[in-house]
Parts: sequence; C-alpha cells; structure tokens
Amino acid sequence: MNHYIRSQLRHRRRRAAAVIAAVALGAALLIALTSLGSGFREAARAPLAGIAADLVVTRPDSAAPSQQTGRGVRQPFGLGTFDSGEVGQMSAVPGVDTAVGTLQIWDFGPRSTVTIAGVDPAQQTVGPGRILHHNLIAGRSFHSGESGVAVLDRHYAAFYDSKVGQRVTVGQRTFEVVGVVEVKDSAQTAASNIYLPLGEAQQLAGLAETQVNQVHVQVGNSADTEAVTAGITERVGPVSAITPDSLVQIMGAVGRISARFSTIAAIIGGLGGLILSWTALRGLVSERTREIGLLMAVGWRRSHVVGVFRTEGLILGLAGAVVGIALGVVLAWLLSFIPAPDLGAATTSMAGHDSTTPAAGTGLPVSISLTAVAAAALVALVGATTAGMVAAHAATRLKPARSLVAL
Amino acid sequence: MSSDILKAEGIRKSFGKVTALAGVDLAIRAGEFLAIVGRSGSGKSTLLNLLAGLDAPDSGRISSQGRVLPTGEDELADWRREHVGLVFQAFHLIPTLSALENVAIPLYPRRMSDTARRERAGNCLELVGLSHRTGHRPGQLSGGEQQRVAIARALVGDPSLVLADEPTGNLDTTTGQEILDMFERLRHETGFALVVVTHDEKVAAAADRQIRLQDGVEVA
Repeated sequence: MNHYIRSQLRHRRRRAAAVIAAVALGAALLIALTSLGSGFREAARAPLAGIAADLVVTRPDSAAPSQQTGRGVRQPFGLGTFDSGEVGQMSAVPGVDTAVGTLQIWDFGPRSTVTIAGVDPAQQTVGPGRILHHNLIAGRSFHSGESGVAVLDRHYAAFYDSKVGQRVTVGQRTFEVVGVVEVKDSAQTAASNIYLPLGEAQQLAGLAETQVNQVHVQVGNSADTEAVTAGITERVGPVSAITPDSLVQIMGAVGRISARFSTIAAIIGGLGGLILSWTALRGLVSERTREIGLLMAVGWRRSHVVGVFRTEGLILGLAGAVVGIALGVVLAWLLSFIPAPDLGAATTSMAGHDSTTPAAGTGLPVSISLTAVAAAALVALVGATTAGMVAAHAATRLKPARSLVAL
Repeated sequence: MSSDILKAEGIRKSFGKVTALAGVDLAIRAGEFLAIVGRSGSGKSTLLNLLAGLDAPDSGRISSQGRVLPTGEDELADWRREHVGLVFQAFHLIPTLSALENVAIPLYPRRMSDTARRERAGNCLELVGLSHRTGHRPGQLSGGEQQRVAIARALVGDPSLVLADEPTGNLDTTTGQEILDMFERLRHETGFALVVVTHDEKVAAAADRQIRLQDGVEVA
C-alpha cells in the first residue's frame, strides 16, 4: 500500500500542500506565540535578573515633597526607610533566601541631580553589591569598613570624564574613585550614578547606620514571590514591591496579554492550525469518496482504507511539523527584533536613576523552548493523523454503492 | 452443495418511497453468462449492487455457494476480494495511478510481494491486450482501453463471478462488441460466471440466459 500512498501524495500535490501548510501554520503559531510570551516574561525578569533578586521592596512615605526641596543630599521623594531589624524580619519570611538592604539617595547639585547607592560591600550575591562584584570594568570595588571611596557608573564616568584615581564630590564630601562598573539592562533596578559604602551614604543622608530604604529579596522559588510579598507586608507593614509581575504591568496591554495569555494564544493558534488541517484533510478524503467506494468494492476492508489515510495524515503531519517548526523558529527570530519594553524608566525612577544614563534599546529576549517545539511536533503529527483517520472512518461508513456515485 | 455460486431470494429494496426491487429471485450458476435486462429505472443496477454486497437489501436473502452473505462491511469486502470481480459503466479507474497500478489495487490487501503483485497485474493486462500500456494513466487511454483495464482489475483476483454494470454503455458499438468478445473469451479461458446488467439487446442476446426486470420485478 505504500506505493499507492506515495502515488496519491505525488499526484495530489495541491491538496497535500494545503494540508502541510495548514499543519505548518498551526505548529508555527504555537512555537512563535509561546516564544513571544516567554520573551515578554523574560523582559519582565531582566531588570531583576542581573542582581539575582526576585523582588525589590520599598516603603512608601507619605511625607510631603515640599519638605524635601532644595539642594543637597536627601532620600528620593516618597521613599521611607527600614531599619536593620525589619530587614532581618524580611529574611525570616518563609521562602526568602536572602534580603539585602541598600540606601538610595539623591544629591541635588547646582547643575544636575546625581543618584547614589549606599552598598554593603559584604553582600555580593544580591542587589547592588552584586553589580560592584560582577560588573567592574575598571579599578576595584570597595571593602567592608573602607571609607572615602566610590565606584562610578560607566556612563556617569564618561559623561563627567571621571577616571579611577580621580575624586568625585557628593554633598560636601569628596571620594576617591576606585572603580567603574557597567550596569547592564539586567541590573537596571539597582543602577545608580555613584556607589558608596553604605555607612557613608547613611551619614550623607543624615540617617542612622541601621537605616536603609530599599531591600533586594531573593526568593527560593520564584513562584512564591507573591506569597513572600504578602509575608513581608504582614511583618513590616505596607510596602511597595517590584516583581516580574509588576514589571509586566508596566509593559502595558500588549505585554500583559502576551506574557499572561501566551500559552492560551499558542493553544488557540495551534488549534486554529489543527482546524485548518482538519478541513484540508477532510477535503482530501472527501474528494476521494468515490475512490474509497471503489477500494471497498474491490475488497479493501475499512481498516485498510483508514490505514491509508492514517499514513497519509502521518506523512503530511510530519512534513507540516518540519515546515512549521522551521517557520516558527523564523517567526520567533523575527519577533526578537521587536524592541523590548522600556522598563528602564520605571525601574530606575524607582531607584532615582539619573537621566545621564541612557536606556539601552534591545530586542525582546525571545527564546524557543524545546517543550514548545516538541508540543508543536506532537500536535501536528497526532492532529493530522487523527484527522485523516477520523475523516476516512466517516467516509467508509457509507455503503460502497453510495460512495461510487458520490459527486 | 449447491451448484449456484450466488442465489438471491425475495430481494426487496426501496429508496424512500421509490421501490427499486419488489421481490426478485435469482440464481447464478458457475461459469454461465447471465444478462439482466431492463430499461432505465427497472432496478437492474440496484440488483447488481445487492448481488455484489455493495448495498444491503431491505428484505430477502442472498447466499453464495449455500452460505448467506455476511452483513459486516469487512466480511463482505473479504468475500468480494476472494470471489467477485466488478466492472462498472464509468470504469471507476483511479486517475492518479497507472494502468498496472489500477489493476493491482484489489491485490494490495493480500499478503504478497510487490513483485508478485505487479507480475499478476501485468499478466491480467496482457490478457486484455494492454501489456504495452502498463505505465499509462487512465487519462492517457481511450474509453475502450480504460474498460479493458477495468476488466483486468476485475480478473486480477481470479474471481468465480464477474458482475458488470453496463460495461459497454460508455463505448461505441465497435468497441462495445470488442469488450463483449473479450469477456466471452476470458470467461471460456478462466471459467468465471458473468452477470451483465444491460439495456442493450445485442449484449443480452450473447448471454446464456436472460432475466428481464420491469419496475423492480422479474418479467417473462
């Protein structure tokens, strides 16, 4: 029967091509839409990924901005403080691996506003300390207990032509530049112009050495982020938390839809392709109703006929899967040229980042998962095979005498 | 054991309110040439379909060599594959297949090698004088050649009974006569019984025996 099947596929190229195209479309949509969703999710995770944090916790401060006007060093508007005891309480929330406190401050100078991060250099795994440890491009970081030293952001250093060994002024004090870091997109939430030892930043802001205004939290299982946020709120009172989910909200409608409903969209896309392939395969079977009647008239059992269409469906499904996967990969690649949502403004405004640091324009971090490819192949193969079988099964229920006179 | 290779008793068949067959009795003996004659709408093609098991009667009994025909579609297919060859007025060749492949179609469900299948199909094409046309598709053949391919397909399973529905109906007189002569030659060579449904009196005249149908009943 293989010869018969080969012959049929060879001579019914248009119909076969229609089935392959339909199957391929479904598989490609499944892969591309899944990749698009994962791209948006990755884009949402990116600002936190570089600092190994799952959420950044701040305390909203109801103090009126009018009380914080004028030049000098002060905390960002609307940001309250946590004391070290509260940071400890956050560490104790079930599901939290690490909680690291930092201090974000602003220096309102005569010509510009500079953002400063007070960092505990002992905390190198999570938060801005990770930037100082991993993102150095010149000089060194500072050590625990060291004072009078600063690390600059690359863009800030370039803008003000500052180099290692030179001095930088913050408030009324000067600091020796000991290093320069390059903050990648994946660490934007913790980006600042200048990094100082935490104790010195606290002194500049007139805070006690136990006070911070930003806590970077690493969660054991990212699925627990929401529960951890609730746990923190329960222990220390109302907080504001930046999480991948909150960043998705910042992305806007398309991002929300893509990230949240990509799986559903992919399934709908796959189903659409299945329906198309089902219709095309039904057409393939339908135009051969007389042939099916003839085959049964000359002694083919129903199972023989169904077997032929099952094999044809399998072959067409396989071809459709191969074409669809290739098409899906190309589509996903094209989607990677979509500009990633600019979360820099949202994340750095929270951190008080200065506009002297330009936002890097990058594409959506689209990645193709093997699971999506396998699912697409499975849906294509099983869908086409089943469609062929079901359509043939229905056609063989007709008496051969009726099939032979079918139009 | 009965010498009738196929026997129909009290066959009735209606399509909605139209009665196609209203109680027909018929016996086909081994090796004979039987013509079922009647005008259009007399029920002769319906009777042939029922005899071949391509459709089911509303009532009555059809038996083959003393055994009632099975009712299951697969069992009927098995019976046709082993015992019956069918020839249609419209040839019913598969347009995408070559003459040889069309002839081999009934052999696909059989357990035999592709070589044996092709050899058997080639022999049958030779029997009908088309050994030079094995690779041609139906669209490349004349009406007479297509019907000869259909006859070869009917004979490829070595049947004891060939049922032909207006086998010369789509052919000119000369070609129709050639087909009829071929049937006769092959019947004598291989010994199958031949039942031909026709409205052509010349075809009917060539048969050993005739049954005339009118309005679904046999008439004298």
